Amino acid sequence: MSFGSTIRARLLLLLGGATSLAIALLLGTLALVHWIRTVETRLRAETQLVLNNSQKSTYDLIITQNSLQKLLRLRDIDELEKALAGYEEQAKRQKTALATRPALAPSLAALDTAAKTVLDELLLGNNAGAIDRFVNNYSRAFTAMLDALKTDSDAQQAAAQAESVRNEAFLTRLLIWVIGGAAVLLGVLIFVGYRFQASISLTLQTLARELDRGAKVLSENVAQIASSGQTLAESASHQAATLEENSASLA
Amino acid sequence: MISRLCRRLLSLSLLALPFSLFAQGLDPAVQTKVNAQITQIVALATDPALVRAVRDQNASLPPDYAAMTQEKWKALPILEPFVRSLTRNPAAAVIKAKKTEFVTEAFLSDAAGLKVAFLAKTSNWSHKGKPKHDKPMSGETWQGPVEVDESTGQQQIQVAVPVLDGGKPIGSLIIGLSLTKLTS
Repeated sequence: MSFGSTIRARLLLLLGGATSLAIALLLGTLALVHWIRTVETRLRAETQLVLNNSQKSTYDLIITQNSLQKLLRLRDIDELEKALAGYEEQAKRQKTALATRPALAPSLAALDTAAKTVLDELLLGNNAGAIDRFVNNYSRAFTAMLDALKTDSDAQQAAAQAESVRNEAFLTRLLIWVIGGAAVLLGVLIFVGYRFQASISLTLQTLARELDRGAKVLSENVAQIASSGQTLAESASHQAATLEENSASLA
Repeated sequence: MISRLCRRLLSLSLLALPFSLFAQGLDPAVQTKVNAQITQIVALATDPALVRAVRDQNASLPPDYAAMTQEKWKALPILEPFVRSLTRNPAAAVIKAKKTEFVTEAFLSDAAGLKVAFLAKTSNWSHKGKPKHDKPMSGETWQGPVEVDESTGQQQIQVAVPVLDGGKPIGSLIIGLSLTKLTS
């Protein structure tokens, strides 16, 4: 392999390495930004979901309470039967919605029990007794349920916030590692570049020395040739003089 | 000591007197409205479906009716078939169809005060021995005191009229009227 092709190959290698590293860093950064955005979006969605669920649950509870309260005002059994079906459907919907939150199970069970005491009286036609149970049992259980719902929602929000803080800390650590990694890679690139430059300089110095030595040899040779030419000229001149003398002597 | 107690009781009685008078009597304008409702209730009591239902029950009391006691009645849920049968018979249908917006409750009793039809389950299975049934059974109209309906918190008054068959009382029709609605 010639000297020129070796340098070209090394330059291409260095350029290729630097380009690959730059692309890797760019892709890595893009992937990191995308991941951070994904995590942020997920956390935001989770927090929003907690808030939405909390609002919906509160709304469901109030609707159920209103349905039950409406039953207390009804006297006509036909109307009561119809409204009772509506209440049971609403209570079932509420129960299904809150079943996904185990922390609320005891309060929900207490609310169900309190509602049952109201319905038991109501179904016996004892409206006064039903109102008494509603005021003394159901309303208290309802307040406890709302408190439990608030506590659970606050806990879920706190958990989401804690996860957000954890993720932020992880991202900070990751960023430090990425910057550190990039710095190491940059150091490696600088080292490789330095070694490459050093190897090229060494080669060029060797070449210069060899050229210098060649020039010296050439100069010596030229001097020697010049000296030989001088000697030859002198010999020719001497020979001519000799020939002239010989000619004169013969004449 | 005793005289002090007597004085206190007397004071309490005097304090309670105005409320008692208010409960017993009605403002003449309101009474006029109640009277108008009573006229309609009397007309309702003459409905053939009501008269027939009372007459039939007086003639032949079903065994489950005869076996019913106040304790059993009190323990019966309102959605039980026996109770529902009393809200879904022809007499109940007529009462329901003809009830006005002022009606809060309505029940029809036979001669023995046992229920024939109603809109809402009554507290008592039999009203025999109570003025709201006994008065109509003597051919008179009865009007109760003003009371507060615990379910609605509204003031109401009960009136009872006889169910006549050939001019003879065979049962009673008792209707609860919302005074709050009548006066609004």
